[in-house]
Amino acid sequence: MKASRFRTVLLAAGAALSLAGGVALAQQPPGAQPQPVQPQPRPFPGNHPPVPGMPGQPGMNPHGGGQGRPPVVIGPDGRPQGMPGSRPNPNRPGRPGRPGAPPGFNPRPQPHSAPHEEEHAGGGEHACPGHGPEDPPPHVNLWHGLLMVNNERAQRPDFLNQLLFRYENPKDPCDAKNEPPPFLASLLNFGILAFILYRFGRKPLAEALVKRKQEIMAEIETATKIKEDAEARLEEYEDNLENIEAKLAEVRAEYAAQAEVEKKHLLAEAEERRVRMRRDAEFRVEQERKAARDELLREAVVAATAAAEELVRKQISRADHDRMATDYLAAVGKALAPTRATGAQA
Amino acid sequence: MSYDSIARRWARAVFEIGKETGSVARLEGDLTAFAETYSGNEELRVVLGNPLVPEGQREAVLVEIAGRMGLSDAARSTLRLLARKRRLVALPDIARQLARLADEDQNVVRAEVQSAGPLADDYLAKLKAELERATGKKVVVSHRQDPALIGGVVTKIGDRVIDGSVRARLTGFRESLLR
Repeated sequence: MKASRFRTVLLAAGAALSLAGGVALAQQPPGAQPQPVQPQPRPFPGNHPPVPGMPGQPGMNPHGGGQGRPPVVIGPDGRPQGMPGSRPNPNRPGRPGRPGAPPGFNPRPQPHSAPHEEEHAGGGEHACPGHGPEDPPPHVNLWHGLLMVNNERAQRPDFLNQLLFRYENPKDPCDAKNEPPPFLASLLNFGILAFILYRFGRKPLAEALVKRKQEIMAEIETATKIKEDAEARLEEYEDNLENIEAKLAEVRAEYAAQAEVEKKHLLAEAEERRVRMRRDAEFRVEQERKAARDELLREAVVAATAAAEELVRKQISRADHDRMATDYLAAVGKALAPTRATGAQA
Repeated sequence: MSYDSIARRWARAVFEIGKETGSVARLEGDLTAFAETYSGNEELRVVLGNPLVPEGQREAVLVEIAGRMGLSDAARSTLRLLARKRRLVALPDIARQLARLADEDQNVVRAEVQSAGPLADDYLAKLKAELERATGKKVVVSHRQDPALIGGVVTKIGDRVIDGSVRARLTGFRESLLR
């Protein structure tokens, strides 16, 4: 969408430039060649003293042949003779259609004067009248020759030819009948360009401007929001800085309380661990003590029974054997009693 | 290796043969005697149990020994059958099971009496009478001295032991002290 609008604007601008170029080319005289512009020395005012080294001054060429140009002759009016704007033209005190020119002032060269033609034939290095510092502004062509240059049709008196064609002598830029391109053509070109721009570029340009406006507004809103945030943050930081001492004291108190709680917790944990270790140690000691006591008791019992067995072996007599046999004989019946009952039941 | 299950089946079969022929006691005595000879003579066990020795030679050795011991024909046939079936290794268990079956058949209980010192015959007779009175069966008593008993008498009858020795009393006394 944006690219199509841009292409449309480019197309309109290209068409306008093409039209303007076409009209401008139409204003060129037929067969005219672009001439390089040679800077011309500007003559000094009449009361200015001669400057050595100035082209055309005696000091520049003592032999009187500087650059092949003839020496400048100062006229009785104090102006150099043969220079543009320095030649009086008693026959033409003013240009037709340009009243108000001072008497004795010739802003433009006289057409077809023999010395002038000779000057152009000899190199054309002198500027046309009207380019001097005291010359009036050149003639402004308002409406002649809207279409093209045609010297023959431009001199016809009817309105249409004068409107469409204008006179211009490319060989003599100082020709008095030369007419610059008409001001009306520039106005027409500008009007066409304005119309094309208005016709084809109004909507895209308006949309682009609206969009740009929206973007700028969004950026402004974003910047405003950022600014507000920054201000709020600045205010918060300033508040924090103002209350930093109180907050530091609060944080210290909080850390101190946490440290106290942690200390109590560690102490309780250590106490619990101590109690548990003590209990385990007591249990192990008790187990070891029991094991040692049992071992001692077992050894003592074994030793005592061994001693008793040895003593019985030594001291037992035949009478003891008989007595034990008799006792056994009395007890064996009772010991086998369940067997007999079981057998009877079976 | 235990041959109890095998011995029980063989003893039952031999007992039935003896029961039919009315020679249970003779048969039990002959097999018990040969079993004692077989168990006490390693060379005889090796020869009779060696598969490299031909079966005919093994039977000849078996018949020769049985003849010299004066065993009955039923006992000889039983031994030859055990040799052919390679069951001579179970002969001691078979003899024990056969004695048990014979005792049950005759309502006889065997009692083994041990004492630290010698016992008089009249005491053994009184003990036998007391055991017969207590069990209600005919009791065959065998006596053996064991000085380790220190004093007193121990009687093993069936699967029960009546221990009246000084060693047992000292052991009980020691166990009670340790508890």
